[in-house]
Amino acid sequence: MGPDYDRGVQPPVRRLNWTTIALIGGLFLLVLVIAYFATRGNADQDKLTNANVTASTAASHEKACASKATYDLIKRELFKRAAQLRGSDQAAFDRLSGYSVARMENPVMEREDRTTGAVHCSGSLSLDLPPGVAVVGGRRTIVADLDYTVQQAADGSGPVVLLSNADAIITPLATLVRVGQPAPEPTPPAGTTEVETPAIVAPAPVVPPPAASPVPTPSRPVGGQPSFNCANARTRGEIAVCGDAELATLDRNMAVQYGRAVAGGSAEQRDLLRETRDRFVRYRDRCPDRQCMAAAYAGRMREIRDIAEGRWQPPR
Amino acid sequence: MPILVTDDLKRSFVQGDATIEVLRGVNLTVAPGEIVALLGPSGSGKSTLLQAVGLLEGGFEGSIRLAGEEAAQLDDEGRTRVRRELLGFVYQFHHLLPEFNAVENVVLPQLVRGTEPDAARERARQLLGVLGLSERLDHRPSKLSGGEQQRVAVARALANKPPLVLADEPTGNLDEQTAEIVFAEFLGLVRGEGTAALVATHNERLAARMDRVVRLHDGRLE
Repeated sequence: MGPDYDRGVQPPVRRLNWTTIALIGGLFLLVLVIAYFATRGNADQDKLTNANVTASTAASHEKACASKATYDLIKRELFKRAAQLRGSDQAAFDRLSGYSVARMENPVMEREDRTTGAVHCSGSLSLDLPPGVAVVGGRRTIVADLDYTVQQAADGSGPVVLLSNADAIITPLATLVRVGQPAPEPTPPAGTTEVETPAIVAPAPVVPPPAASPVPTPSRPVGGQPSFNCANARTRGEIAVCGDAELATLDRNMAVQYGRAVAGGSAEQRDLLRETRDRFVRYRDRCPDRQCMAAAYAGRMREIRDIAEGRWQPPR
Repeated sequence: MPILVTDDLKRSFVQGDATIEVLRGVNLTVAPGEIVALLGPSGSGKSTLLQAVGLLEGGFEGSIRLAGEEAAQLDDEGRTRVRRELLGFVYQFHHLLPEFNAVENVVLPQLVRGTEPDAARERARQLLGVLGLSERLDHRPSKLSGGEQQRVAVARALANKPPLVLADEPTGNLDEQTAEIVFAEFLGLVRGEGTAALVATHNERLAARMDRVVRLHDGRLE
């Protein structure tokens, strides 16, 4: 029986192992395939999540450009620097800051610096002064384009703003005078109890008080005409020039200079003027901002002059 | 006492891993009423020198004395005060305030300094009149030609009778003919006011009209 037992048991066990191994192998392969595709799916999902986070961060940065807290910081900085420029009345300017209103039209996030977390913004600021004070010309609203950067203070005390082209507001603000009407009782900002009227020590009123008239509507700069017809403006550069009086003036001046140079130049100079003109237009149209465009025009005018005077050197 | 003295003035910029030395020890003295041309090719550091002397940015080494006052000793407020009381600026671009007309642009710096409004307006009218803008007083910058805009900028720079005017290519964005005229008017007005001026230019012909020419080359004056 012994040998029969051995023979009777061993073969069935061997057949079962092969089948099981095949089944297990198949299942293992199936699991691998599923795991492969499942892993790929997860990677894509992660990407989507990152994109969502990026979008969310960008939205939060956009908000930093357009938040009331940012506008309040801008306002305080403007008054602080105006007092500094004036060389006096810092305390009065601080108080007036609280009674003034800053509004921003078209706040735009220009770029962000990922290393520092700074968000660079631009917009058109309207600063409404409280009744009883005015700047030169009797204005109670100052309007100007502004570039500003919002970032966290190095000492962790919260966000700070840096203003980069604020002279168009700071200079007139520094001329602030009390106008000939009683200042109304201002509503103190939340969290303060101070209601005293700001005591601006300043020259006599610049103009008759504007008390009876409504707050002047801020007027926008009127655009000058460039050398070309703005109805036909197509490129980014042309459109920008048509929307900016200073660029339009530069364009006109450059065109006059160009015309003179072409008229008075040799055939070689005329060729040079035309060749360099095409390069200038391409460069100008790639400019990301008006500062770049203004610099491009300035460079082009120097170039035209150098060609006309026969001392132009090709750029290295 | 000289209105301006720089002693071994240095300024460098870091660009990536490289340090670019723009000013390598500039020694310059400007006497009261003296008009000095700062001549040099583009990129030679003329604007950097004017920025430093105008206390518009820090980061320099050496000494800048304006009317005897050492700039290195000044804090932010002190620099603002010196700029307000001693300096006038004319840039290549006029930088007029677009919301304000010609007279107001010239009145503004005077009011900032505390001049009576009537006197400031009278001074503005007088300066603009000398520059041929009597008929354009109420025009905003956008309604003025390039030459007229730059004339207003000249009047604004001189409005407070500063002892020193710093001008950086003051006619650089004008066509040649207009530049000649405006530059002549600028020089005439500066001389008439008895103001000293440091004028950056790369135009030899314009430079020759000034009292003295200094040349900036490789970060040093020749």
